[in-house]
Amino acid sequence: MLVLSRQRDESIMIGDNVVVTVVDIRGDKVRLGIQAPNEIPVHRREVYDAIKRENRQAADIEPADLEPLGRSAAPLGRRRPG
Amino acid sequence: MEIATRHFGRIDVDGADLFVFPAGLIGLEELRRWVLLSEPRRAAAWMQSVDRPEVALAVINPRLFWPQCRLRVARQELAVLGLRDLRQIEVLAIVARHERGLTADLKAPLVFDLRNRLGCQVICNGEEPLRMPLDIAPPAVRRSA
Repeated sequence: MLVLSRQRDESIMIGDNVVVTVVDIRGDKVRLGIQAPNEIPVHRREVYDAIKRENRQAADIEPADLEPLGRSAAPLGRRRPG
Repeated sequence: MEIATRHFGRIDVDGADLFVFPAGLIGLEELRRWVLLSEPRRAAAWMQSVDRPEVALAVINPRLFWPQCRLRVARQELAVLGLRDLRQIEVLAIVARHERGLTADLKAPLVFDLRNRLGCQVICNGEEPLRMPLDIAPPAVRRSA
């Protein structure tokens, strides 16, 4: 991993169009400003990781698990076979 | 094309049925082609992966369960869809089974562009829960019960 030292108000460039700026430093907390193009989503790592785990957990579900959901006439998509 | 699914046997998938997720799902980035299958008599559907047929995710329409539900998403989250008309979208939440029961992920719902048949998983920027308990029947069902 590349490690760079930065002071407040200094920035780094990632590629041509992503700018990460150290906005504030207080104790053990650093506030970062991130300028990135619209098509590059920016998220806190722990949020992203939690969603990744949740997606993988979701892939373990079985059709029988949906029985508690009750009956409903709310078709989405084409009818599944079986 | 025909795919051998884990839960539903062999199914024939027409190209017109596909939803393409150009960025895949979070943590499942390589899974780009999906087909939505309705679950008979349940307020749920299945997101069946075409790229990896053993993967199928259960999904619900969060508005059916929580009519007041409002999900806040930054516009750049939808950039992959190139959306101009927000009336053309459908939002579904992925259901997961945990020890305490079913939950719906309202933090990272799926957004479908029905016109171009594109989709993406977005991350909401509010306090939406990653594991909203799903032990209730949708209101429409309770009324008729």
